[in-house]
Amino acid sequence: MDVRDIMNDQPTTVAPDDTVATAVWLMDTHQVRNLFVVDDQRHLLGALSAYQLTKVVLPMAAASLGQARLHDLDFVNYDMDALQERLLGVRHRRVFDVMEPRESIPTVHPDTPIVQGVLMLHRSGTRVAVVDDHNRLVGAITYRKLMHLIHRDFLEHA
Amino acid sequence: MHDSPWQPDPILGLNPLWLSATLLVIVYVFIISERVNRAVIALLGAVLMVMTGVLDQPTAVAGIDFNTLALLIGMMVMVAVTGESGLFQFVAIWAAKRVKASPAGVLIMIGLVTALFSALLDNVTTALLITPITLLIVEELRVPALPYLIMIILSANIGGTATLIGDPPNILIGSATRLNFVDFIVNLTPVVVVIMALLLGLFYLFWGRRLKAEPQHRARVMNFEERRAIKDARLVRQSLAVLGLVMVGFVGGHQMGLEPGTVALGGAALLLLLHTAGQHAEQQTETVNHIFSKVEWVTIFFFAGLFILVTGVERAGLLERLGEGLLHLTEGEPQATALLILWSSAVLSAVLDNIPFVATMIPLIQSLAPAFGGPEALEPLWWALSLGACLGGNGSLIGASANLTVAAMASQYHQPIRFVTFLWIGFPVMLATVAVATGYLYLRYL
Repeated sequence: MDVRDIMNDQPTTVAPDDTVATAVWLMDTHQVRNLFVVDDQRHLLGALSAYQLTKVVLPMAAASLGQARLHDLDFVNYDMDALQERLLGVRHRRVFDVMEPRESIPTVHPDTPIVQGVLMLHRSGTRVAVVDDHNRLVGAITYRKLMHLIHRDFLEHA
Repeated sequence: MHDSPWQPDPILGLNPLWLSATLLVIVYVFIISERVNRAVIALLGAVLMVMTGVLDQPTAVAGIDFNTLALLIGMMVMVAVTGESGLFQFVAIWAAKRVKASPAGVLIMIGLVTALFSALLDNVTTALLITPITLLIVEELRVPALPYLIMIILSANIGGTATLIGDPPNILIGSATRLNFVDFIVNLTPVVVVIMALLLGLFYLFWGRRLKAEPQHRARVMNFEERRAIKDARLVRQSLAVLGLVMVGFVGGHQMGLEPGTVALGGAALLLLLHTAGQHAEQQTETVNHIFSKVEWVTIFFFAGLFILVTGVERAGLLERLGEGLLHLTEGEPQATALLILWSSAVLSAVLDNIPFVATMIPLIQSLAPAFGGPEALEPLWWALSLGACLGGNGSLIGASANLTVAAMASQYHQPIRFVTFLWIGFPVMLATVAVATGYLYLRYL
């Protein structure tokens, strides 16, 4: 069995020029925590996840992946206004400007063996994009789909 | 260091002078090109010095200045442990609030705090600890980060000049000469205070007073609770006590025959002992591994390799020749020699790493002792070398390790510092500060 047999073949996508507000609306209505950013020909450009959104909302000095980042922010005493300003400030930014770039998204080919696909999902913690030889998005390995498969097989065997 | 009876015996009967000089130049070229990690290339060069017969292994190992390595490692360990406590964030926030979070005031305070810490600790570590909290304050104030980042770099290098332990060139000079911790404070700290005042004044005039922040954004920084930045109050007390003891050891150890390397490693061991007290064996291993991982091993191995390389060219007689050339150039005049060392160190340290440069200059200057009438007469030359090499680091973005550290962090935070932008500010600052140093050397020693 290959990755194509267990992938979600209709992952939710968003355009690079859409706003973060649109992306959040998509996540909310489709009940997903991850969107793939693709161009008109479905070439994979990046991804925007709930994880990435928290990163954009937080101060850079703490949310960066740098070795010397701040480990805690409990001395920062925000009031409601300050928090709202941060959240609202994100709304009108372009998806392209805040997304995780293509190179940091784990990808596999649809012909990849399943175990390798699940291993990559485990290591990424979020999702793995499935792309063809031309970098076009054809699906995604997600926890949701994986759980669905486990559940279905369980019912069949029972 | 010079007791070994070994005489260079290069392969193929090559001239040891040219062979060792060629190796050193090749290593320098690779260091400048930044194509190969500097620790790797220095170690490779050191091994080649032995393999080609310029040195034998005992002489090569004897050339490594373990006092310098011990001092560096000891200080890095102590700062790594102290960094866990949140003390540095506390001080930075406290300082920003003392000036009511005004952008110009914060700029000055960050400069002062950085200079003070880097005088007492390693520059790179200071920059690593101050930069994130500064970026947080700057982000809240909605002011550009660039002036603050450049302030951190410049004041780390200037502050580091003030003491024996502040900057690697000083550690090297202190270890190679009879000059002790107090000598460095008496001779360098006064001029560093003047230079720092000049830097703060220039930054205020040209940059600081034009920075504006909205009252509500300043209020947010004023709302920071610096006390909550302290993660571990017990560790703060332990760290401060041990660092205090170590400073006492640096000052008083000299009379008791205690070298700074012993004092620093002693402090590191004591602080680790206190920090891991009460932990299970496994936990202790984890804590100690974590702290050791923060030691800049690249710098340590780079030093070890360089010491061997420099021993090679020294044994082959190259540095003596260069020293003779220097004497010829200045006709043995103390004044001309000191100023030539000051300015050439400054300009060279701006374009290449000041550590290999100083490591090479030390034996060269030592070879001048007979011509100057004994090692004591060399003192002004050591201060000239220190001031030139440390202040020269501000001349460009690649001039010192702290510069590269801050630049790397700035890119991670999407606030890149461009090479040319830094040059426009750093180079004139370097010229102005070395000019002050020239006046100081002239008035005090020449």
